[in-house]
Formats: sequence, C-alpha cells, structure tokens
Amino acid sequence: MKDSFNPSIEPPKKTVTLVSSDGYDFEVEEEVALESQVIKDGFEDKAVDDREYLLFNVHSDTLELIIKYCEKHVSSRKSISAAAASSSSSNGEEALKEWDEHFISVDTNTLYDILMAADYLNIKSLLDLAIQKVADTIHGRSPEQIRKKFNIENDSIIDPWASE
Amino acid sequence: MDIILPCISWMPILWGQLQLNKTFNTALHGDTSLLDDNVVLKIEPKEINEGIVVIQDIVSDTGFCSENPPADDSPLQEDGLLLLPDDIIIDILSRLSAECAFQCLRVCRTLCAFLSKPSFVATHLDRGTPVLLVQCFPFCYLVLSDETDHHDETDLHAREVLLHYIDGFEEAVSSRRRFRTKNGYKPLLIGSYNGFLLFRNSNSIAHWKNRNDDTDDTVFFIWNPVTQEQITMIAPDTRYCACGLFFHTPTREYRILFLCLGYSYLKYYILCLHTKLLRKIVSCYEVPCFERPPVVLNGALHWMVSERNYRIPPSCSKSILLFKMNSEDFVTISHPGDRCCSGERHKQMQLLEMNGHLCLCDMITSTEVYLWVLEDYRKQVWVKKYTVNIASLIAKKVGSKYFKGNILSTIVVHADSIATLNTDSLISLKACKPRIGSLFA
Repeated sequence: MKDSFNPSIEPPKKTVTLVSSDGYDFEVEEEVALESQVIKDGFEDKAVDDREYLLFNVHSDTLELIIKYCEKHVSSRKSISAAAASSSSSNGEEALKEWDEHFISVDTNTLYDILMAADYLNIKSLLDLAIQKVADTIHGRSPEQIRKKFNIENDSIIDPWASE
Repeated sequence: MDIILPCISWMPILWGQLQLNKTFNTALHGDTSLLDDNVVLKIEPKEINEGIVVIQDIVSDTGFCSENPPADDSPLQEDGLLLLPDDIIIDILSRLSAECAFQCLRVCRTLCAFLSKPSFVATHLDRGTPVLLVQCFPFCYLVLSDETDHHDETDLHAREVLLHYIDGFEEAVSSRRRFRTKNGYKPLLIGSYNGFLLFRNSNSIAHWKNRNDDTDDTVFFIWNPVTQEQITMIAPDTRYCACGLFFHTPTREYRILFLCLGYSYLKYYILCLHTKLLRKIVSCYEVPCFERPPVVLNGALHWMVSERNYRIPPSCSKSILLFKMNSEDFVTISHPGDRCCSGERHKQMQLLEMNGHLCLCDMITSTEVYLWVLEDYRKQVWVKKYTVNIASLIAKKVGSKYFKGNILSTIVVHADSIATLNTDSLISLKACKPRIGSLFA
C-alpha cells in the first residue's frame, strides 16, 4: 500500500532485533548490528527470520548508547567514503573523533558499562575508545584517588608512602 | 680542542609524556622498560634493596601524577575496575605513562600483580614510540669543567650530561643528568637498551692534563632516564671496555658485553648484572667499532668491525660483527657492494636500522649516500634500496649550538625523515611526502 503512495521510497532495510538483559527489544539495521564482531561472526549462518540476539550482559540503557555509537559510525563511514569518491574535501574523520570524544564523556559507571558491553559484543573501535578513556581517568591521580574512583579496597601490605 | 662525536641511540619513550616535561633537570616520563620491576631489582642488589625503594625514588623524583587531578569524581559503584577481563586491564594499564603505572602499584595487590606480568611489560613496550637520543657536548666544556659544582667530600664532581630527545625530528627536548665523577672525566653515552642508557666514563679530557692519573675510565654507568636510577660498575682494569648492554631473555636479566683489549690478545667478557659475575665467552677476533652504539635488531647487536685496532688487513667478508644476545656468540657478515678490502672505505660505512631491517649507509661522497638493506639474513642478501642526495633534501636544524665541526658523521633514518648528524649541527632532513619510500624514490 505504502509503495503505491510513494513509488520512489527505498525498499525496507533488513533489520536485526537486539534484546537487552532487562528484556527490551531494539530493532536496528543490519549493518549497524554488524559493527559487533560477535554478531557478525555467526550472522550468515542464521536464518533471515531468526535474526534476534539476546544480549544477557547488556542493560537497555547501555545498549541504547552502543546502538547510538554504531549508527553514528556506520553513517559517518558512508559519508567519508562518499566524500572521498567525489574527491571533495571533508573533515569527516575529525568530526567523528570529536563526536567520539563527546560520546565517551560519561560518568564512571556508564563508562564501565560501555566497556563491558563493547568487550562482550566485540566492537573494537568502541572498546579502544573506552579503554583509552579509563586510562585517561587514571592518569594524573594519586593511588588514593584511584582507589576511591574505582572503588578498590586498599590491600597493600605496607604502604611506604603512608606519610605522604 | 678535543672534539667528541655525539652518540646516538634509540630509546622507547612515550613522547607525549616527555613533552609534558620540558623543564630542564627533571625526570623524563614514559619509558616503559622499567615497569618490569623484577628486572630493575636484578641490576644492583647492593643499591636497591627492595622494589619498593625503587618506586619511591620514582615518585619523589617526579611527583607528576598527583598534579591536576581531573574534576569529575563520581566513584564507581560496586563492581570495581578489577572485575574487568584481564586483557582489558592490561590494555588500560599499558596506556599509562611509566610513572602512572608505578603509582598504580600502590593502589592494590591485584593491580600490582598485573603490573609485574611479563605480558604487561611487553604490551607497554610495544606501545612506546622510539625516540632519538643525542648526547651533546657543549663547546665550552673545557672551560667549565674546572668550575662545576665542587660539592662533594671525596673530590668528586657532579658532571652534567646534556641529552637531547628528538621525536620525528620535529622538536628536541633537552634533559640534564648529573653524574658524580672525578674531575676531567665525563660520561659518554655508548649504548641503550630498552630505554636504559649505558655510559662510559671517558677520560679524553683528563688525558690532556695527566693521562696516568687514575683508573676512573674503568667506571661505567647505567642510567634510567625515567626513574633517574643509576647503577655504577667498575671494571677490573682499564683494558675492559663496555661494548653493549643487552637483555638476556632466557635468564631474564640484563648483561653487559665487555671487550678486553690487550697488546697481543682480544677477549670478550660478559657481566651479568644480577649475579655480578664476569665471565669469559667464546672469543672472536674482530673488534667492534664501539664509538657508535650497536644497532639492536633481530636479537643481535650489530657493529661495523673496527679498522683502527686491527692488525690484520681489513676483510670485506668480515666487516660487520653480530653478537647474538641469547646464544652469546659472534657472527661476522660481509658488507654489501664490491669487495674493496680497504679500511678507509669501511670507515665510510655505518649501520642503522630502517623499518626493522639492518641498513648499511655508505657515505660515498659528502653529498651522496647509498642505503643498503639486508633483506635476507641467512643468505646475506643486501639490496641497494636508495641513493640519497643529501643536498637536495629539505634541511631543518634541530639543535645547533652544541656541535662543532663540519663533517657528515652520522645518518639516522626515522619514520619519514632522514637526519644527518653533522658535527656542527643536528640537521633533520624532512621528507616532503609521508612515506620513506617516496623520500628516496
């Protein structure tokens, strides 16, 4: 019916359903889901009508962020390659970097969740981004601040710097 | 005026960290090799009793990590950082500068265990980018040498060594190091390995004044520029000369190769820094040209064979000396090109590393240079890759006031640049295009 109203509309894109640990369904485009190496690996073997993934380790809040990240990366990759094909100058990569920077500027708990999810789903670029962020967070802090920040118990046998 | 050629070595330093610290005479950041504190401990049990002491030095010297903590301070709930998979924790830690990683040793036992893992050290080392290090000798050295810091009870002077760290030939960062040494002597950088620097106490100045003075030239230093630790070794007598510092993987300890050169004999010794044992190894009749630090590549140290100390006519088939670090034996290979059997020609050749290959730089004239690359070790296949016309490249001086003279002495290839180290200036010849291939094409 829809087609008869607007014959120029694109065919509907193939989608994949991702189910978060708390039971929410997220319908995403195939290529967005394929950003995850884990999904990509078994993708071809799965029947087309059975493209549903239960992500037991990823909460809906985190999954929403991850999907946002993957969508952004898929779309900007397209625009970068389009710009390269038309040999027009573009600062797409820089803009993406900036976007990433903004994206990962989250509180420690969210960062931790993203890190775990990126590891679970094996999204390399996101994992890299999150790891770098954690490293940046550690950088410039005293051991006491690191313990506090990451909720680590002080079990050092002797603390020779106790006087500091 | 006694002119000493500057000495060049590569060292893995995380450049970003280095740049944060442009003030003189403070610690450098980011060297990776010392994270293996087991290794550090092995070096000199006398001076370093416990790992803890080593680390304390680092912290008190730099104090860097405690500056400017980021503002955001919401703590992580429940699940700690430590519940992350091991490889992620190692990845995170490997992105820290050496100082910060040391700080993390104090956080808790678990992190401490991670930081001591060899896999962590390897990852951290891989991440470091090599930096060119140049030791500079001020022109006014002799004038100043009598006036520097008489602050020691035992007639020792704090001898200042000026080092330039250069990355990508964009910028030089200077650092000073004070060594305690007798007047007239100065430490001369003769090699580096994993960021440790090996110095020989050179007597070239004392030699003017009173050459029979004493035996201070049996003194060698190993210095860690990150932690500012220094280890002093004293060789049995003046005939011993350190040629190279290396890491012996099977025993996981640092060792120094000594050459003992007498009038009628030639012996090689190895000093194990852990056990402090000096032992003789299988001899080799070639003398390395140890004015230049060896090229460390493929588990071996490489030198051109010295023509100066050599009584037998120079042999082209034995013009390059290799010392295999793990098996501790010597191999000689032939230089590329036509057989010349001329000591003078051999002197115009020097070894360097280019993209993981051994490269021989033949300075055939003062403006033209041939670069040969050893493509196949076993078959000794040399390929003449590039002919460089030095004059045609864009020259950029990196640091000029500390060098004297005007001979093209050393060439260094680094990423997309080629640098010549003239005795009067360090000139960086920057490629117009990003690839080294295009530079020489």
